[in-house]
Amino acid sequence: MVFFATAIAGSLALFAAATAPLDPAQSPDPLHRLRARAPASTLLWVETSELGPVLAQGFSHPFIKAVLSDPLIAGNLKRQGSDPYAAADAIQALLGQSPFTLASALGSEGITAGLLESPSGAPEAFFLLRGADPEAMEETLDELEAVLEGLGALQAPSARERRDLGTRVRKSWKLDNAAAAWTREGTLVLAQTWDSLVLCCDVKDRSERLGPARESLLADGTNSLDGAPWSAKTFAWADLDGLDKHAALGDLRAMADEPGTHFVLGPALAYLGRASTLSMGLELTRRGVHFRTLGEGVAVGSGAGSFPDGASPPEPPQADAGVVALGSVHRDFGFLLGHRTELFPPRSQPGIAEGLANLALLTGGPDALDELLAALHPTIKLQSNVVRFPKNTTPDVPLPGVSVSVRVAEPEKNGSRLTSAFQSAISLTNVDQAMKGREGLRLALESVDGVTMTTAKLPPPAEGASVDVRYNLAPACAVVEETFVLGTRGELVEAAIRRMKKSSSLPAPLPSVPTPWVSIDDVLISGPPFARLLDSQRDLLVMQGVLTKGKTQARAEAEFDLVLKLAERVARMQYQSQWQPTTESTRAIRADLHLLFTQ
Amino acid sequence: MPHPTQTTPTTWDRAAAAHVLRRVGFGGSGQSIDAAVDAGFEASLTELEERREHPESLTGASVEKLVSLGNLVSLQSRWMSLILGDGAPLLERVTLMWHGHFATSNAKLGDVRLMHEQNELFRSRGLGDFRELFHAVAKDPAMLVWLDGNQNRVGAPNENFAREVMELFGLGIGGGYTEQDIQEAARAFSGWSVVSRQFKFRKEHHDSGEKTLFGRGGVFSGEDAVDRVLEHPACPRWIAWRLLNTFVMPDPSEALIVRIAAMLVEESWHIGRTLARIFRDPLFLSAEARRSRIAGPVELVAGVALATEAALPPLDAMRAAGVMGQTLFMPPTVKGWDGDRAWIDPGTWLARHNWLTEFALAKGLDGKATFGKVKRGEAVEVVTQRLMPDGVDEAMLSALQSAANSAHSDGHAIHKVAALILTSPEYQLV
Repeated sequence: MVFFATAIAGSLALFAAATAPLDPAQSPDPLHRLRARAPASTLLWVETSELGPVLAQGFSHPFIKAVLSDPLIAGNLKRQGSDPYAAADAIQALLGQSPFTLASALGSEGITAGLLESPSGAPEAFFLLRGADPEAMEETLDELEAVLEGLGALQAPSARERRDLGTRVRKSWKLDNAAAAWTREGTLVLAQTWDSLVLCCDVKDRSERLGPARESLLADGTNSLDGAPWSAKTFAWADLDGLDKHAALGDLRAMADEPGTHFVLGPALAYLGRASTLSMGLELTRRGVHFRTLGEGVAVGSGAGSFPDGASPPEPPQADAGVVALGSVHRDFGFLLGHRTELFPPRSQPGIAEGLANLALLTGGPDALDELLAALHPTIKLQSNVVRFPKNTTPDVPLPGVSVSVRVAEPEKNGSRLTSAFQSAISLTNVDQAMKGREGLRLALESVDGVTMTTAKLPPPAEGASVDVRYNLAPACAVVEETFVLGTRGELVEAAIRRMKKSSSLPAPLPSVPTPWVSIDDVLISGPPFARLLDSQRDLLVMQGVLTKGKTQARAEAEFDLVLKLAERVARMQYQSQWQPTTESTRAIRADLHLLFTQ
Repeated sequence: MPHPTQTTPTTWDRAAAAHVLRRVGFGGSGQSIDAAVDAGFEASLTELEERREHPESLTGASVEKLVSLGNLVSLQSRWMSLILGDGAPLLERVTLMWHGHFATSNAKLGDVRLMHEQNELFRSRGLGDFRELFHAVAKDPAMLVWLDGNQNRVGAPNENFAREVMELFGLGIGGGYTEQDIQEAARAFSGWSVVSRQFKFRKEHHDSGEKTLFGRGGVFSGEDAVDRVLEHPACPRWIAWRLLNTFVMPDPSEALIVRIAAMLVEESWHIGRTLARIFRDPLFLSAEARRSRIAGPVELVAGVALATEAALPPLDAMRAAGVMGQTLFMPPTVKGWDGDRAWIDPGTWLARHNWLTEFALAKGLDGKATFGKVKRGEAVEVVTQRLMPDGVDEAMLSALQSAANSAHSDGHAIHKVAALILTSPEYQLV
């Protein structure tokens, strides 16, 4: 008797301690308790503490209100015969409480969902919930238990099953195959099977990886667009090695084998799928969104050389008026193509060889191309600007111009090769156009601040004739000291030349603060010009939706307007990727996406 | 447009209404067939002939932007969207007919704007006076580039364009012209060229000497050469064959061709008025005409989409037709598509079968939306009524019933029966 009394008293004391209001200074992370409960066999973990206000306000929450009143979403729900209000009423009629009240009481402090490797070896889902007020949570559970018992949905676990859960569980239930438990420290555990429930309630075998993974993800965690710290209120973690045994992650793992992924997305995204574990954090505030993904234990193998060495960190991009996008990306074409047989599978080789053969035609043969590729610095700077087209040549679909600049070794020799390749490419295009009876681009030389710029322009269109999309193209190139500049518009190349000439006369910038992270890509996109571009081509983009997706005109318009509304909310978007070595053969890779909203 | 005297068919039922919808346009849903039966033959036919309800979004200023992109796929999808939208059934069918008659391919042109302008020419003049259309097409920049007409100069004639003007456009193969006529016509067309996507007559390249065409001499210009072709007795017969082949039956008899050729001349070469008389001729609804033509891929895909009211993306429909052998704006040769039996060979049949099966079983067909909630016992009747209103024979009925019985659910039965009907030989006929 004394033993039982002591046990009960001890349990109550534990419960009281566990459910006492947290001191925010001591525990700023309300989800740490749930994280500490993650079983060692956790394969996937998603947690959020951001749903509290949504659950508390339900349909009155501004976000929910805006989503449900959006014509597109409302139309979709109507078409599918779904009525969230009626569904909420039905749940209330069944359970005696609004689903929002119920969910708020049970999960306002945090909700997690995960997959674990069950004792049978199969992955099974589990959920952990914590309410902000343990007493209210318990009261809600009691009411819910009474309703579900009345409906005959609950089965009592056997004494042995209860014993398996241990003394830290106050109550437990079975619902068909699923199982639930209410722990003494105030966590509601839902699991797919009783065995999984036992794993979730067992305090001995806990995951030691989630906490450090979250810490690593949050390291240096400021929103670069406004400098505000972040805490990743929504956090996800995946054991990719573990998941790979159960789910086919082949495509994710094989991204690094795709030349297109390397060339377009860069080494960071190409190798992220080879991580041992992947962590993701998301934070949504009134000012913007910050999403970060961190891959640890990334096996890069022979692709290690496609990463920058960190010797010359790129300057952070600074957007000014008229700029649509700018940034610097790391693409070591010389390395990727030189090691193509080790890096890419045999099926990719013919495509790469064909591309190289075509390029070799422009550069004076394969040897010259090899030399040229080796001479290109892997850091490529990009800039996209709104174009002011000359009178009467504004295309029907005006597009922003783009320029790229890259440093080249032996600029006198390789700069000339690149300029010749540009001129040859224009000439080949002109032959094709001439065969179709169309005007070609006229090559010319211009001098800008003493630098020779090669330009190519179409003759002005006939008076009153439509100006097709080709008029977006008036390409140009130039070699400025050690840098080769190529642009879709001459004015962009001209601006780049002036910028470079001016900056070469300024004192060298101070060295940046050393950081263990080496920057790979850093691209900034300005929202307003992008939204204006979308808006100006509304009819065309809507039509494309109708033609390619078979949408009705009304639906295509509604979808476009929703996208435009979202685009108009974005002031700036920045993508950054970085890496750091962990062991000799592995590295950590992280990628950040920041969205800053218009105020 | 005043219509000729109405010829009320002896039996105006769902089968007859479905035939009119398939031939005047590209087909229709069960609801359209029922509405046509209720409205009567003349009212339904007139409505199909006169309907001009293309959405502004596919005909207005935004089309210019689409063309400016220079993307052929967008242009192909836009045309397919006009066909699937069923906003002007006869107009789009006639546009497709002229695209095959005056076949021009972007494979050589590589100029989406020129292809678009030619397409709009067929649309704007295709139902009018054929003589005007012929003159306009002869000077169409896309046509001149396609047939090297813009390379035809005095002293260095290029006969390609002149040959096709006779052989394919005006008189037909063996239509009573000689090599000498082709050479003389080529001289008449010399100096016709294209500058900045516009027709331009270059006097300095024109052969202004006397020519002899079809035994008649004169100082003929290119326009005169087109007129001489139009005056040739084989010309109305050739165009009558084209109309009969497209709208009534393949391999029409010589007597029928002569009768319709006379009708065309009586109607002052007006295609719309001639077609109106053909549609009201007893022959049009005769048993001989029904299900006598093999559907071309565009007809087939559009017909399936209209019959099932499926929200088929125009891009997918266009690509499906392409795999089956009819890529819009890309006819295989200057002769266009051979059509009829040439539509089906082992390769194209496989493509048809695969697409139709995939449409019916995997994606495209929304059984519940198209046919409603149907029990497997009713599946054969409901699906047949919609897709084959003229009925099926006993053997096929039995096969359909067996398929419905072996389905694992009511919904599956609908899809299985639809797949069997769509892939049946009978369904390939329109």
